Amino acid sequence: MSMLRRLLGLLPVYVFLYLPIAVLITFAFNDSKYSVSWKGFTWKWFGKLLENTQLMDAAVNSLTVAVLSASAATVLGVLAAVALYRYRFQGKRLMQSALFVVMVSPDIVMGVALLVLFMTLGLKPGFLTLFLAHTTFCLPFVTVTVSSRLAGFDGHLLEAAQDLGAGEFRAFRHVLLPMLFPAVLAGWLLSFTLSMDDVIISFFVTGPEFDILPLRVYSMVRLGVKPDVNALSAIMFGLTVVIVFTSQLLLRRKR
Amino acid sequence: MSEERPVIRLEHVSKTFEGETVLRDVCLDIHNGEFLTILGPSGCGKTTLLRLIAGFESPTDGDVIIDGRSMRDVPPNGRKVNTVFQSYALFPHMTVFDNVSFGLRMSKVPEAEIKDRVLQALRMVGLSGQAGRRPGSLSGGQQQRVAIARAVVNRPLVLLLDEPLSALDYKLRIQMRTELKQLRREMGITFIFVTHDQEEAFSMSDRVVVMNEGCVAQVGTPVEVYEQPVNMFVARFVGETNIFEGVAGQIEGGTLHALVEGRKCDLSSRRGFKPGDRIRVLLRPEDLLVEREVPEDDEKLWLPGLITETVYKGSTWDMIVRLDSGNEVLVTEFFDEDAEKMNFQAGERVFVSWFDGWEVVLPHEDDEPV
Repeated sequence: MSMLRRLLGLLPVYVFLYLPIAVLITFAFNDSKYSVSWKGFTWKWFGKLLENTQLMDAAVNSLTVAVLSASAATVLGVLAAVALYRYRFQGKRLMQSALFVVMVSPDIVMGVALLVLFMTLGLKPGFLTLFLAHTTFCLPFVTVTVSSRLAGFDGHLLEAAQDLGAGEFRAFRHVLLPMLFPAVLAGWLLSFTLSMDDVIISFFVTGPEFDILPLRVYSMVRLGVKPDVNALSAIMFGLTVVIVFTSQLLLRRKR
Repeated sequence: MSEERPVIRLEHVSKTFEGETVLRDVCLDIHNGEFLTILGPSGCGKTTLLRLIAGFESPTDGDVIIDGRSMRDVPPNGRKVNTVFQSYALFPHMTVFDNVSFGLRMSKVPEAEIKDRVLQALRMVGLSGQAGRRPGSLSGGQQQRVAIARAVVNRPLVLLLDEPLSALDYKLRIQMRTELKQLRREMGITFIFVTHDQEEAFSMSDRVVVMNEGCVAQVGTPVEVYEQPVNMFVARFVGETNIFEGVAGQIEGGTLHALVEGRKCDLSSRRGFKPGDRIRVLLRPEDLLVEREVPEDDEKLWLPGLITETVYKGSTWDMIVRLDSGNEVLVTEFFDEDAEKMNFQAGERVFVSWFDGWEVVLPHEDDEPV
C-alpha cells in the first residue's frame, strides 16, 4: 500500500522525464504523415526507414565509428585506469585531473578544439577524424568506470599472482582483467552510447562524404519531423535502454 | 646445521620508505628446513622483511640471497619462495582448483601433472572435496588452507607466512598451529612465519627472531628468548616480567655481588659489569617464590611485601605483591598437592624471593622507563 503511494508520489517525476519519449514512440506508430493527431496504428514508418538508403548508410557509419571508438577508448581507458592504480609516477595527479577536464569541458569547445587540431595536422575531416574525436571524449568515462571498481580491489591479489610466477602481463591478463571485466564492459557500452548519439563534436569533425546518424537526423528534422525519424528514434531509444540496463546489471553483479 | 649453506641469507639489509627507516642493517641466516618465526610488535618491520624476501620490495641497502643467489633485481615471479598472505588473497573469480593450480600453470607444468599435484595438495590440507567451489563460499579456515595449498603446491624452497592465523577465531587458530607444524614436518620445507603473538611464535618455531624498530633484537630458540632475553625490550615483549633495580658490585667467577632493591644479594651472570653499574634483575612471575615467613638458614634475599590482589586462574594462582620498596611484582604459583600454601589472601604480609640462578641480569637502559 505504502509502496503504491510512494510510486504515485513519484509519478509527476516520471511523467516529466518520460512523457516526451512516450510521445515520440507513440507517433512512430501513427498512421499519418503530417498530423499530430492519432490516425491509427501502423508499422509502415519502420518499413520506410529501411528503404531510406541515405539514412541506412549513415546508421552503418555510426555503428562502425561507435564500435571502433568504444573499443579503442576501452583499451586506452583501462590501461590508464590500471596505470593510475598500480604505479606512482610524475604527473599522476595531473593525469587524473586532465581526464576530468575532458569529461566536463563543453562539447562545443571540444569540437572546435579537435577541428583546429585536425586542420593543423592536415587530416581530412571524415572517418578517421571522427574515430579519433570519439575515442578522445569516451576515454575518460572508461577510466572513471574502471577506476571506481579498482578502488575496492585487494592489491595483494596481484602480488599473489606475481608470487605464484606470473609476470606483470600475466597477472594483468589472468587476475586483474577477469575481475575488472564487468566494469570494462560497462565502460565499453557507455562509450558506445556516447559515440552513437554525439551531435556537437561530430558536427565539427566529420566531412560531407561521411554522414553519421545523429547528423543525418538533425538535417532531416530541419525540414520538419517526419514519422520515419520518429521510428528511427524509437529504435535508438530501445537500443539505448537495453545497453544501459545491461551495463548497470553487469556493474551490480559480483560487486 | 650451521655449516650448511643457509637457504636464505640477509646481508646488512636496510629499507627506507620516503625517508623513514623501516629496517636497519638486518643480518640473518635462515637454515634449510627450519621453522623460523619473526616476532615483533606492529610497525617493527617484520612484514617488510618478509616482503623483501618475497620480492615485493627491494632493499635500500644490502642484499637478499636465496639459495646462494643474489636476488637483486629478481622480481617475485623469479624467486623460489611462495607467500601465504594475511588476507589469503585467493582469486575470487576462480575455483579452488584453479587457485591452487595457478602457480603450476604459470610455470607451464604439463596438465596431467598439474591435476595430480593440485589434488595431492588439497588432500594434504584436508580439502579434497572442495576443488570445484569458489573461495567466497568457503569458511575462513578453509580459505586459509586453500591459500597454504596454493603456495606449497609449487614446492618452494621457503614458504613465507604473513600473520596467516590472525583472521581466525581462537579455537581454529590453536588447531591451525598444530596443523602447520605437521605440514612442515611432512613437506620438509623451510617456513618463515611472521606474527606479533608470542604464544604463536613459541608454540611453533625452531627459532624466533625478535624484532624491534627495524632491528633484530634477539635470535634464538623459544626457550632461549624466554629465559635469557638479551634486553629489556625482548624481556617485556615475550611474556610478563618483574624488574628489580640494583647496583653491581664485584664479580667472582659467575657470581655477581650486587645490591638489589637496596639489599645485598648474589646473582649469577656471565655479563661483565663494573662495580657501580646500574643493573636490572628480571624474573618471570613463575620464577618467584612467596612465603609467609623467611625459611630458617636461607641465604637467599627475601624481600618483604604486602599482597594487594590475588587472581585465581584455574591452573595457576596469580598474586600481585607490593614490596616495601614500592615495587609491584606479579607472582604465579602453580597448584600442587600442598594446598594450604595456596591460601594466600590479599592483605597478608609475605616475603618474596626466587629460585637460585633463574634471574636474568641486564644493564640499566636509561631510555626505558620501568
